[in-house]
Formats: sequence, structure tokens, C-alpha cells
Amino acid sequence: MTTPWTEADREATLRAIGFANRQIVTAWTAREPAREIPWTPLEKPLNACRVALVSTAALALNGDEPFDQEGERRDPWWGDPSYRVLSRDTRTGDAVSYHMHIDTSVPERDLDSVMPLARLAELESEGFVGSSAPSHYSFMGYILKEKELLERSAAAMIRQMRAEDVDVVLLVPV
Amino acid sequence: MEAAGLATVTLSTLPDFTRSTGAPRVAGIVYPMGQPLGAPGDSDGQRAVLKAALRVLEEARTPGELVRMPFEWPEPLHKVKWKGGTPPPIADHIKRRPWLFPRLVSGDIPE
Repeated sequence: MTTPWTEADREATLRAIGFANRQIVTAWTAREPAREIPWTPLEKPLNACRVALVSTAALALNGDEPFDQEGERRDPWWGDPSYRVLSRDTRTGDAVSYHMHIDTSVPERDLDSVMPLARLAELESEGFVGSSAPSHYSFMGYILKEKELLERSAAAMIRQMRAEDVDVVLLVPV
Repeated sequence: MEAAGLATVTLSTLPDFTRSTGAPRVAGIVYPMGQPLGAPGDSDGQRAVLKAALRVLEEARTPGELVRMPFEWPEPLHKVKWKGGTPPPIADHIKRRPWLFPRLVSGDIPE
């Protein structure tokens, strides 16, 4: 039996982000058009599924190309729409967060607070999931103009997921 | 992603917003923004959240379903400091040009 999300939960999560952010998020929530929600049924039990993670914490491996912070400083309405691949064995200290809108000390101290690759490996070992995919993905979550993100980055990521026989994806916005 | 045959679930600290964007399965959690799996170092807590979020893939029956994760943060969320360091560029930009704030709210983003 699942627990329902209540009005008190909505109030608690909105109050937590402060007055200005609450105004923005509330307006954006109301503005989203009604649309048909896409749906792929789960075809097999979780313990037979290959799982990929997607984090919006702008994580890039040490030595990989950083997300473009300078571009956002020049034009604060712009955010880097690219993505980075993190291998399944990425652990705390192997990746840097380039997101200027979050507390990056959290993933620096523990990657699994935002991108639980170590925990997912444990779930694979105990047989809760079939496997952790070879590749996992990170975007930078502050994107106001989403065209390039959707048409290029997301499409390329989905191609790689399919090539690696991914069944299910956990998306973790921050 | 669903159209490409991938079943997805989104673990969100703002699930009402996530749901409005058309996400098919949402695991809502009353945790601070920026640490959706749990606090740094809390491996047991993170594992429990990860399992509960993945279970939504098996539990959800209806497109757009929002399931509350059965976990509580130890203090009220509005008392948690969730952003340290320098404010993002847009915050400074709007502070100096407050007349642009309505454009951020309305989504009328300058080219």
C-alpha cells in the first residue's frame, strides 16, 4: 500500500525553498500545459531490470570537460544544455558538481546523496535489481530554454541507454 | 524516454512541480532540496530511499502517479540551510534589475 502525497507535504516542500523560489515554482507548475503522459509499462520484475541513473547536479568526472559556468555568468538566463557520462563505478571524489544553484558541498561529501551509484551497486549485489548499467548520466538542472537539451542531449542519452539494454531509469533532479 | 521503451521514475523534493511537467511516475520526498537520497554519510537511509523510489516502478498503475516516500527529515525543512556559497548569476542579475523578475516567473525568457 502506497502513501498519498498530502497538501501538508506540498506546503512543507514549497515553504522550504523560500519566498521568491516558491513564487517561481508555483507559477511554473500552474503554467505547464495538460498533456498526454507517456507511459511504458514495467515488463519484468525489478530484480531482472538493468537500471540507469540521471542526476541534474551537473556532475562531471575529474578530468572530463566541466559544465560551462562562464557562459551562464555572461548570460544568467542561459544554462549549459550538455550532459556527462559517469561510469557505474564512480564514487565520491571521482566527480565534481558544476551546478551554481545547489549546495555542491553535498555531492563533494557524499555523491550518493544526489547520485546513488554506490547504493545501486549494493542493490545489485543483494539482488534487489538486476544490474546497474555501465553508464549513468548527469545534466545541469538550471535550463530555462530547453530546446537543445530535449532535441540533442536527451536524444543522445536515450540512444546510449538503449544500446546498453537499460530497462528502467531513475531520474533525480536536485 | 518512455516513448523509447524505458520505464522511468523521478525522485523529487518538489514533486508537485515534477508531476506538472508530465513525468509518468513520481516518488515525492519531504527532504531538503539538493539531498534527495538523504544526508551525506547516511548510507542506510539512502539505500532505503533508493529502494522505495525504484519500487514505485512496480507499484504505480496510472500515468502521472505521485507516491509519497515514507521517510521524515529530522527537522522542519524550512529550518534546513540548503544553499551555501555564492548565489547563482540569475539571483544577482534580478537583484539589480527587479523589473525582470516577472519574466522569470512567467517564463518569458529573454533571448
